[in-house]
Amino acid sequence: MTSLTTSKSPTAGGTSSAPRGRRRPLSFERISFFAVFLGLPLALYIYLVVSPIIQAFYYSLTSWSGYDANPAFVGLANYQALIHDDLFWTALRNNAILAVVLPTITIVLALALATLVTVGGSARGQTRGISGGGFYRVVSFFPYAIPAIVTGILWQQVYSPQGGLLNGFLDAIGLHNLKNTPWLGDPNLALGAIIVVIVWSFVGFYMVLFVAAIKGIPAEIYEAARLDGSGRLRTAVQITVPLIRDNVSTAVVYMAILGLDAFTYMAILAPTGGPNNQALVVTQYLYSNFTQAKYGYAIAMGVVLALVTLLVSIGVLVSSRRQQVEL
Amino acid sequence: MTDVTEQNSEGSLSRIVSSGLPRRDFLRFTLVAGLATPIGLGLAGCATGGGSTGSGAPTVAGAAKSATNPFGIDPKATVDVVIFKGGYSDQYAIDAGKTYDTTWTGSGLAKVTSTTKINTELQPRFVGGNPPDVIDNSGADSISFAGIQGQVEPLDDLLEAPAIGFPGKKIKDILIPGATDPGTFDGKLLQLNYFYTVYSLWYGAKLFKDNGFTPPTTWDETMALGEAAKAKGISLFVFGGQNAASYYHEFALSMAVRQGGVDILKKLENLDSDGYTQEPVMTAFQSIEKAVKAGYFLPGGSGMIHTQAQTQFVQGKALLYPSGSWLENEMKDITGPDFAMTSLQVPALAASPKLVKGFHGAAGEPFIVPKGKNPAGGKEFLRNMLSKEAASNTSKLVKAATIVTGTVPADGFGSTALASATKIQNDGLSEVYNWRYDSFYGMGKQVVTIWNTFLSGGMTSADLAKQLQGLSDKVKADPSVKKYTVS
Repeated sequence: MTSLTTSKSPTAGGTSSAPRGRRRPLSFERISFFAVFLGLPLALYIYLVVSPIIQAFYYSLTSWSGYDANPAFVGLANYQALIHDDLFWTALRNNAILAVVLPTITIVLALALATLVTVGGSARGQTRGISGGGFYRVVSFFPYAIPAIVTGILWQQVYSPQGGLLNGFLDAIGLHNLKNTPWLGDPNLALGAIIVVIVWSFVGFYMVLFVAAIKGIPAEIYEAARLDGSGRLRTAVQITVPLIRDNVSTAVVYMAILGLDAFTYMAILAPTGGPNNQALVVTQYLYSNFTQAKYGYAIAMGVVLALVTLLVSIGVLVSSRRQQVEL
Repeated sequence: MTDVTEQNSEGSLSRIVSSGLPRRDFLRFTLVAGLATPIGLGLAGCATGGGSTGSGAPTVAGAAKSATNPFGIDPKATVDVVIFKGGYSDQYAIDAGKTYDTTWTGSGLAKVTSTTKINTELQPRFVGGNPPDVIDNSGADSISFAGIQGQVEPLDDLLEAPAIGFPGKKIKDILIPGATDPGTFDGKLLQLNYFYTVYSLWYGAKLFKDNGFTPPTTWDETMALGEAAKAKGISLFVFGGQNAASYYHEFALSMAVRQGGVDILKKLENLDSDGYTQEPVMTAFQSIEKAVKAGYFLPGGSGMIHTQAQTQFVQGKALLYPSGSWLENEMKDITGPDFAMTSLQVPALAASPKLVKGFHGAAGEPFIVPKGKNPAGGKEFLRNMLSKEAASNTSKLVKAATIVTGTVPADGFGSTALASATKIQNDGLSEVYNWRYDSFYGMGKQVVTIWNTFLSGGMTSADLAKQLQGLSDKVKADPSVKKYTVS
């Protein structure tokens, strides 16, 4: 912000040469350029994104049932009711867990895999990944290509307490007393089981993202680190991570936002919020309020969730920006 | 490489600002230009459409009412019908549309379309004041009736209209007794529930025969059966705890009512503070608790959804399953050809139950006629759907009973499930019972969660009663919820 004031303050030597802030005349060309390349997208953005957000905020102040055209204005009553709604707080807590755990696990795994297939290979000769790295890269991307809804149904069968793949495996390796474990039906297991599913479907995508970022780091840096005697773990933590910090923080934001949403996975794997509501998330609770003709109340939840999402995103981006590394 | 990182370190915001005034003017200009454009659009595009009323007057003029045209419809006007394409599919309604066209000697008069997403597709049409003339408001994505109660036509005149195919009779004379109860609100018939559901236990007759089991009639017999089945490695019950643990809520209340009589429903329906502590209700909960503790439930139910649980049932891993009579149709694709699914009256909890032949029966699948373009035509469509020919055709197609009496033959069109359910229905119609507080007040989801914990052994029957009572108390204390009373 300081740069703003310096550029405006008069220079000590009197008249400045060729001021940077000189206006060029608004010719037809310039105006039409603005209109097409900025005005139009901005208009569309305001119409399709900003205006629905403003409308949503307005509806959150009404007792709209969802089916009439003249909703009654009730002020902040919906928000007051939210404060006293235990289920909402349960859902928000579960979202908070997801928003912390999902990015952590996904990114640590994705980073480890990305390091392996790019710089984790033989310690001799040129820096390279483990052999067959390209194959693993492609294979681990597969889950991301499956639509969330299909992933959900697939894992619902994997987790099935009667003849599911997971329990069958546990039975086969001798853990017979676990063969009927209700992974999605036990209050202590449900949320964890669903986290595994979400991590499974995203880890490949972030691995590819990190691989691309690591490929952008000059190989000399890794060679230098190796000559200085840095091991693989130390190289990953102290060389790779700081150099791809932008990608990591973007990944954190995306995964955290996913953790604050998670609707599709929950709708399949915990259709009523899971055992004891241990897997209830805000989007799901919000949706069930839609289905009970409480649109105003549901939208109020949506507004709160949007604010939380915004705060989380800003928090992550600001905190990562402060610690920028200069190469 | 170096350059890029250095620029990034500045941060995009400060870079824009530090580059001076032209950029700011540029942004300001575009902001104004951008804002000016969508303001007009934005108003027109808001979700409630700028205040048009949802319940306008009908736009189809119509003719005078007469015996052959009881609602005074315009014979040339089309009727817009939207069907939920679920377990019953939509052929029965398409056929009913043909009946309508035959009655009014036209073609394409009844425009029958179907969807699985009733609410998603029709909510905007309600807000826009352009709903269809008939809606089959069913399925997971159905419209919450509380939201549209004021926007639908009362159907009481439908009951007084002449029935098609039953000479000299009115519609109200040909319906199963009590069929209109679930759709009646404050004394007005607002929903026509077309299908008649018998709620009961279900079993596979062949599985029982092969193992030498007898269908139980009392709870003691049920527990003995559970022990015998356990010896053969079969479970007594199975539940889909993830989304359908509530089927056992229905089962428990049904047993309680059979034992204690319909009077025990009053306190539950009126959300009284002692609804669940009534003795027959507690006995029912404790009985099921005994079966849970004895290990008669197929393990892992809390992690299954209803279709997974029902798959176990039709594969013979569990003997009994409580459900409505839609079960056979729902599972027909994976049920073995000789499974012989059969309906069984819920067992008596103790000696001398108040209702000997009673059963839980209810009309389901609500059809509504919104206040739209052609509500008279909508009612006329329903009248045709209730005709002898259309109702019989429906039962034949979907192997389920409609609310029209005498349209299912004794052999149930070859379905053991329909035949046995029809028998229970015909035998016990004088003692039929039903309740609607749990669905009416939207408790379904929480009932599932509570029962799931209970059936997986994580809660005592006393806690179960307490938590269910808590749901009722919460609704009762909420002044924004409109209540109904039962006396």
